[in-house]
Amino acid sequence: MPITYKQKVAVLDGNCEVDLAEELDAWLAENPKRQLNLKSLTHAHTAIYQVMIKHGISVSVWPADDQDWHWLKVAIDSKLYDEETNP
Amino acid sequence: MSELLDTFIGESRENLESASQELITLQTNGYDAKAVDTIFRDIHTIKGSSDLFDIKPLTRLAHASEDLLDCLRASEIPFSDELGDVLLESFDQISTFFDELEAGTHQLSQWEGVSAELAGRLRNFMNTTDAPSGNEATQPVENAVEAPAGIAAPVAALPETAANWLSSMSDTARLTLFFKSQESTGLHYFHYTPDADCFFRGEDPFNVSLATPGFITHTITRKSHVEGPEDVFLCHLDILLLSSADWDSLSSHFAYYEGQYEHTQISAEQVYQQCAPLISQILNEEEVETLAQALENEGPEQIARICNFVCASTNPDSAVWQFCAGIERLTENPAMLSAFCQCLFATPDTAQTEETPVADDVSEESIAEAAPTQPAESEGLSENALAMLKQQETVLIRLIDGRGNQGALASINLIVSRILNLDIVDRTPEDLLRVIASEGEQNDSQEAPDATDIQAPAVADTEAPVASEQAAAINDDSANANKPVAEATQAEPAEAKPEPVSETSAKPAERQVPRTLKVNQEKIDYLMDLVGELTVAKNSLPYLARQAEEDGGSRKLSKQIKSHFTIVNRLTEELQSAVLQIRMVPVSHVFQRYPRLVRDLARKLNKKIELEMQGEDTEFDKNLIESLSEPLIHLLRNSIDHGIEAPADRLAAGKNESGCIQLIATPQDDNVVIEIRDDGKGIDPAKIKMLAYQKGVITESQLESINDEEALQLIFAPGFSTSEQVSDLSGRGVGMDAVKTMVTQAGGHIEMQSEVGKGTQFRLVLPQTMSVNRVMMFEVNEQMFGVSMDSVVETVKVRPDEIQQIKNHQVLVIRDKLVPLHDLREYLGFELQTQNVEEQSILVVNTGNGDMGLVIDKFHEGIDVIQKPLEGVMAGYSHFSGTALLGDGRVLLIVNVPELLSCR
Repeated sequence: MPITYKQKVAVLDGNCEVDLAEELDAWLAENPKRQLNLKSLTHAHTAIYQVMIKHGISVSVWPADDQDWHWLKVAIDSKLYDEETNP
Repeated sequence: MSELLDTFIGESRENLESASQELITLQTNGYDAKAVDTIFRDIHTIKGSSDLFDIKPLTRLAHASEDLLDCLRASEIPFSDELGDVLLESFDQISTFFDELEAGTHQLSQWEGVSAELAGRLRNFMNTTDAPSGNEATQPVENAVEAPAGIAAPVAALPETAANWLSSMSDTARLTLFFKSQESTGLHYFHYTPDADCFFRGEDPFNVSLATPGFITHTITRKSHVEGPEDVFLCHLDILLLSSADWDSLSSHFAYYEGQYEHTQISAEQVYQQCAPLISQILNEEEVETLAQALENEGPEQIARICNFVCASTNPDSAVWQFCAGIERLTENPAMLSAFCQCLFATPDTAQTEETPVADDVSEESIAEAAPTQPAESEGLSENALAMLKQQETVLIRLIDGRGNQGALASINLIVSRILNLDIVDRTPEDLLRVIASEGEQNDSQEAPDATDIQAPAVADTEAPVASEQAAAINDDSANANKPVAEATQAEPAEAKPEPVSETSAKPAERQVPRTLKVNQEKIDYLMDLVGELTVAKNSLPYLARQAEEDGGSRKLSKQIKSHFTIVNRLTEELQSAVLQIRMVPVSHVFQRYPRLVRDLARKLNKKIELEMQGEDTEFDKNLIESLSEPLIHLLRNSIDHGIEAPADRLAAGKNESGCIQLIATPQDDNVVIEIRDDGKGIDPAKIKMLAYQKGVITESQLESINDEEALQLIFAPGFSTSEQVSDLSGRGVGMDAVKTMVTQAGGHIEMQSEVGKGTQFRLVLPQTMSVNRVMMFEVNEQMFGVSMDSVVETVKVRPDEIQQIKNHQVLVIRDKLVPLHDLREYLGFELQTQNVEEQSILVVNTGNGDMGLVIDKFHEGIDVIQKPLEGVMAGYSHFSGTALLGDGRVLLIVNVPELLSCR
């Protein structure tokens, strides 16, 4: 399974396609403190990233590849900033 | 190959077939707006879906075809045969791409050239050949600066979003950009705003961005304003992207996302302005003091040495390191270094005076406007889910109208199945609309506290989506079919109350429409194989009954087994019939390929030929149809190459300049008759006889004895060819022989008639299904053989003295009719019977040339078998039409009587 849901952490593995977005969205909506482990993530559909940004997720482990993930960190931080300033 | 790719290829092949057919019609009948629309939609679908798989050469070619068709639709260019030919060539190429993808032999790098060449030829037909295909064509690039190093032109302001983004970057990231802009002819900035429903078209904006040629970096932000509830399947993101690639490759990449992006070219100087304060600051650092002086006064070598030294003594993550490393790279190109130095020292303070908006301000603003999600859970579907379903409905309606991308159908199936928790696969747009409509009604009836809820609470309780869906599938003939749930229960409250499940019978009528299910052919073939096994297993029951009686001495048990055999036999026949029905497809499946073939060959030979097809709806077993494809191609090629005359010859013969080939399919009892008629020059029997004699196919005595009809049949002889000149179309002498073999192997036969000057007609008689064959078993030399029951006329037992001798042939008179006899021992290579027997068993069969008597040793019963073609070393033996497995495990050889008798 590309996404394994544990109690507090969801582990994203390999290729996460668009059809997983809704499930991830619902899981994150249940508890905003939940985290994502992206260590083995190789590809994610935009819809998945959109869910991550929407919830301003906390990433427990970033992917191990050499891709620049700065953009996602910025996008997620923007969401957090949004929540802090617009409660 | 992935399942998704498999589906894409399967569906795209259908679209290609459809587009090719319409194009042929267009070429034949002239311009037709409807046909162009159809072709456009087919190709648009292929293009849209291909983008899912990132097969760029394929997408490029499909896109160029689509663009050309769009110009045709808009009447911007006229339709011509040449244009049609190039389009057909492109479709063929796409088909070849599919072949290679399926075979796993594709090499995208090799496709590039072919694709680019064909796409170029397609675009040559368009007036807008040289215009960029993206937004850039209509949108002026306000901020474009032509100077490569960015120092010649006056500095223009960057778009606000770009300026904000650049200024928000880290020092090192900005310096990387700065040097990238120095090393190339500026940068390209894209503000990519994907359409909200782009996911449904199979687009993945993030990966579109990542796959951009010359990709440097990107950033993703949420759209500043999101309408309605935030749906995970709608795209609410914007992407800002920077690339250092040339415009040609970028425009080609973004050609698929027209209307979804804004492009701006950014000069090196514009980037410098963003970095100027930082660079000034770096140059003031103590460790680069020497470098600053060197940049002003020294040559590239010295500068490189200093950069090298500074890099070695500073942290690689620092801005200073990044700066020196960048300059060191520039020293490899003195012109660039010179431009950089000019830029550096000519306008040192420009950037400091620029008013640059702060990134945080914009981020704050855009983020503040973004609407947070408010999931509204209710007892039925959530607000989000309903909105999502509504969205699917819109897309489905577009699909039905032919306006949407068919490639989205798989995604919609998936989305609807997940929302409604139904097992939905491969539904048509119409089916999906019905399912959504039905769920909408159920949801309405749940939410509205109307009479239904009060009078029949059980109805609401049973309205789980799964249950209702299953019930709808099962209960197809509902009495209240046309009434929604609420109406039906209100109208008949008394009936509704005691029967809570009556809700399921009140489904709307549209659910009763037969549903189509696409199934992999291999699965049906497997099912057919199982039916074959079952037939064999069933055949063992009579043996078992006989054994029970003879060896076990139990007549009662034997009777019981026979009784059960009758039941199993009936069920097997019904099962077999049901499976065979699944495999029936219309002959148009094969026929639709031929207009193109006829057109292409006719053009090649400078002939004018019309192809008329009739009976395309006639149904046929899919496997048989496919085995028929090649023989029909041979026959059509022969008609085109040898039959139909050149226009001048036809006119001279008093015929219409244009020849006609008719392809007619007609069901006839359990067979399908396929006729290929042409009004060409016909076949001259005298010429055939002479050629056959010259080629050693017939002897001198046969040359004189055979009549015209027999002479015509010689064209089916192996190695015979009437063509005096072998062409690449036909005339190699293998065609007609191969045709006959293929038709025979499919369980059919071929007939031919021809009249000189009038034309030729081939008649292929084939079984409609690969059904279980009824075979008559017989014994020769203690071995079992079979013969198709269809050809058996009667069985007779005669005394040897009743057999008469006429010349060298044995004959038997049956009811005043002379029947030639053939001893199968002789034909099958066994020793002849030397012992005198009291009675001879004669199997009278009809071979198509009258009745023949086969002298055999013993008759056996008739049985049902699934006939299998001969394989391996036996494949070349035409004396047997196939094999079958008997109930006791023995293999039965089924004799092909005409072939067997013709060998002597």
